[in-house]
Amino acid sequence: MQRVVVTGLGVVTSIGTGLEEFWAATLAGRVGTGPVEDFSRDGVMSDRAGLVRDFDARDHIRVLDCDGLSRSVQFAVAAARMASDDAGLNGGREAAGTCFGTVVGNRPAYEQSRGGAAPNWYDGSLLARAPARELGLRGPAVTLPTACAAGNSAISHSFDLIASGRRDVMLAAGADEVSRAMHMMFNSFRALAPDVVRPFSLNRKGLILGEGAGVLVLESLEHARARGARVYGEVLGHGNYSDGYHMTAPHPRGAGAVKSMEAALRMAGVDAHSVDFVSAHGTGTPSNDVVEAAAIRQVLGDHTDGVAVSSTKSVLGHPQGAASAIEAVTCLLAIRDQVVPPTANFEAPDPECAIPVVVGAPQERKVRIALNNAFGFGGNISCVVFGAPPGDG
Amino acid sequence: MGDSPARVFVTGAGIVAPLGTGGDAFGVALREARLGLTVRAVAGVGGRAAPECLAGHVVGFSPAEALGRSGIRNLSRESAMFAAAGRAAANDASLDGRVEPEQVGVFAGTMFAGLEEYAALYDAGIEDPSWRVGPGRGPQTGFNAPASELSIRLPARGPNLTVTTGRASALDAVAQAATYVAQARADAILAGGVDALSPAVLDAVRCSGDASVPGEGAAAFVVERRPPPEGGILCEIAGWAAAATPQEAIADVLGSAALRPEEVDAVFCSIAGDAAADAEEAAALARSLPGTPVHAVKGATGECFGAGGAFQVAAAIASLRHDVVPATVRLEALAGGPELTKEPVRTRVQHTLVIASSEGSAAAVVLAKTGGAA
Repeated sequence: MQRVVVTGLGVVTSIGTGLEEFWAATLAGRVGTGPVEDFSRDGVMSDRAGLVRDFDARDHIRVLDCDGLSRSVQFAVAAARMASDDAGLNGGREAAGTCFGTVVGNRPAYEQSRGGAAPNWYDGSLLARAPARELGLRGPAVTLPTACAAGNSAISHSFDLIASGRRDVMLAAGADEVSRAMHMMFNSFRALAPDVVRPFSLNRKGLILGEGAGVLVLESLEHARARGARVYGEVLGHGNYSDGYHMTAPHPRGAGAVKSMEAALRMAGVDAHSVDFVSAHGTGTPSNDVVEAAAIRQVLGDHTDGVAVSSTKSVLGHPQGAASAIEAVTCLLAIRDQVVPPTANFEAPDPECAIPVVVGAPQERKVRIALNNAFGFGGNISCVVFGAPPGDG
Repeated sequence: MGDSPARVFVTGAGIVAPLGTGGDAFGVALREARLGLTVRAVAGVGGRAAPECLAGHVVGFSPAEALGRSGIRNLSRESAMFAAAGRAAANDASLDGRVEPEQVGVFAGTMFAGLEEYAALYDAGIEDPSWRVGPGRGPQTGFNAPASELSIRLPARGPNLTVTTGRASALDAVAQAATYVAQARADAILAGGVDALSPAVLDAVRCSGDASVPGEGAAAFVVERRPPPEGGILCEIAGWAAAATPQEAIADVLGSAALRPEEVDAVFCSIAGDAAADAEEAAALARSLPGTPVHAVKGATGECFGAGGAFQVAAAIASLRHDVVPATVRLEALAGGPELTKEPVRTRVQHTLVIASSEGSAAAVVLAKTGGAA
């Protein structure tokens, strides 16, 4: 079995496009959600979204014609190009493929033209194929539309391909765009926050839709060392179990979440006591956060109070399929810089969410093991464990 | 990719197809060279509809009959068909009581699940000043709705995956399931694929310019490592591969099964009647497996998208059990491609190669006869 490391990162987000802009904003707790005029109407409980702004695909995409690409595919391709450049990949020469997670794929393009001339609104496989074409990668190009777990699903699948020796390099990623349809849907669940996202906080009201893309270059350790690549960290393991319970509500005891976290730690060969940072799913909804907090405490036991927990959704909103991919990027940067970003908008601890959330300032601390959680609709759950670069102290 | 020592088997099958419901009905229809295409109108969601068209329509499917009356009101057509196929497969394999729900996973391939629901939800919402939509149907807009619904109904609390890789979707799901089961990440996985005809899907087909006749349906197979001691094995998954091109998939799956090309008794391909989409796979088959009988199930069913690869698996299983490679109906061989079976080929079928491919992705499995001489 090959060891799998991360050698490149790329992000397009509502708080920055490009790694350092995104990371600086995350550490500062700068909130990227805000009012959207189109969403402001009577009877809609929130007018907020986390939109990617000041983004021109032409700044990043060199091969494909941007005009033919939907917004989510533009995010995907741009972030893939950034990650590939970051990793110093030459494109085409490595046996490399793409694996992209998504919630709605290209479907939001339907909203502009009601199915008329919408660019490929029906083709979900484009999320993975377009980046592969842009970068001249051999493939395969696989799209995993596993709801809000999708980014982690893609990382897990890519890990498996490299660990088994089938591929040397995979771009593992997630991408999505904000859509009216999804805003309508979450409005119908009465699950939207009218102001900001407050993960794990008292008085949290709900989630806010976000968008963007996160791309990780996964590579076998052997291949990375041979070409002298810079290594952000290692992918140690993953766990994927289903609640088998309800299409939108989490299992009341977080059964799938507990099993997935435990399975990820087991595959990683990591004891609960070694976990330093939990990058939570933390959508800010009353139901997710209480179930997730209990599940984290069940898995980490008496070590829970020694970890740092944070939710990037506090600053991004919920970027859907991109969420756990962008959050994975957060994990790797936390390992690189030995710092955990704060969870923004936190008002007061909720006694029902008794986990140590980092609030206010970023927390400088040892970060060698990070656990990344992603819980999707229909019980799709995927958890990934990241570790420090091999050979590091 | 099949390089683990654990052996993997198919122990149950459930099929909802233009040629009939249930594995036996499907196999019989293929052996009788029946065509599953009819001309019917297509109903969508929320009053949306498409006019009559020639397609592989699934006729007479009743979610209430298949799943019971409760909890079906908000199900998309594709969720209902996949849940029905999955339930039937689980029953076929006697999964209930034999394998714990925590050890049962669901892997589904689809191209369009949720597409019609998304369009209908948006169409309804945009007409309302407050963007009101019914909360029950929202989750059905997801690609992952069929896999999730099946996992809730069985229940199956093991790994859960949805994959969308064009025509390779269902075979990718089966190949992934084989990997997971071989590595003991689950004891059993319901793996297969689904897609349903709808106004949105027909729009998509029209926009894509694909020339093949469309179809719909669902099929699911129980993939497991430890079959029931009393038998009930449909076949062995002797090799599996997921690759970038059909040529690579064929080479990888033969390697995975430790098989020489001449040991393949029949090929079940994803050729569907669109020259551009079919060309690469056809050329790869002609190059790698010359002379091997090739069956194209989509002649009978139409291009069933996410279910296509699963119907190919069903056809392969039927051929293993009855030692006959059925005639391909309706479709002609492509220039540069393999001959498609014109008559049934009666021969001992020990190893079948099932392949499906789309741009960027190709998957293949080798299904082998069990219960007789190896």
